[in-house]
Amino acid sequence: MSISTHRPLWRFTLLVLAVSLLPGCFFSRSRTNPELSPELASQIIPNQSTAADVTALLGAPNEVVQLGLRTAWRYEHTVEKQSAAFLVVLGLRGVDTQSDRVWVFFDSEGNVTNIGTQFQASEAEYDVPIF
Amino acid sequence: MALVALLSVSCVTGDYNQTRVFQPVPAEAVDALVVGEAELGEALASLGAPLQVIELGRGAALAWGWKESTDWNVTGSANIGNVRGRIQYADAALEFPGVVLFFDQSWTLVGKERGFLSELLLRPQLPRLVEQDGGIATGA
Repeated sequence: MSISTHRPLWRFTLLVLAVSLLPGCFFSRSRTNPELSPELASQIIPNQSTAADVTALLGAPNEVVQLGLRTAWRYEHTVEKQSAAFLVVLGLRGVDTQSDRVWVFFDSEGNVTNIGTQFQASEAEYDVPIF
Repeated sequence: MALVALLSVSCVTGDYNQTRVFQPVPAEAVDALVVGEAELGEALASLGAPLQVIELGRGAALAWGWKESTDWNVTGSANIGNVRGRIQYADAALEFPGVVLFFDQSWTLVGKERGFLSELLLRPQLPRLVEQDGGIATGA
């Protein structure tokens, strides 16, 4: 049985190449505001729920927009995933920002008239770009 | 030789960035909303929660936006004798494409536009008395 003497040298060369070509990389994730769930949002029913019901379910909104005597409230939870690799003089960076968002529309009496939802925060991905 | 000499006293770095912010709304869903007929509830059901809601006159504008882009950022610098130079090139796309739907006071769709949100939402708005809204339909 023969043992190749080239194997350790080959591995060392690969390691040196990898270290020199990939001196650094990073991954980060940031989250803004508490998560929103479809289950909670589904409990907000137009022409039935009130502003008090919405506050009890979702808490204070992130934004209130005045629409004459009516209002619209925004709730948003954002996830940003960032990943990067540094190849000596070249940096490759990918940023993906996705959000869960709920808009609740009220009439002048504070009754819910409409609700719009989207839940995409969980779809944020780490993705280092390749040309 | 001159190139080697230049490279030995200079540094060039580059960044390649890929950015995705939110997701596009389906074009077919926007097309399916008929101006003069569609109401707020229908728009929210087919497009989801908008990015922005803006009061516009007695009505409102709802904006959906997203961004998917790649860009380069190249920076070069050199020290030659007492002279130090630096040059930078960037092709980052700053625009945010999207769709804006315009609704009247009774939440009926009165217009829809596609383009860059920065251009679509920069419309002059005049102050008004909200008491004027009394007696109009407030629900969708």
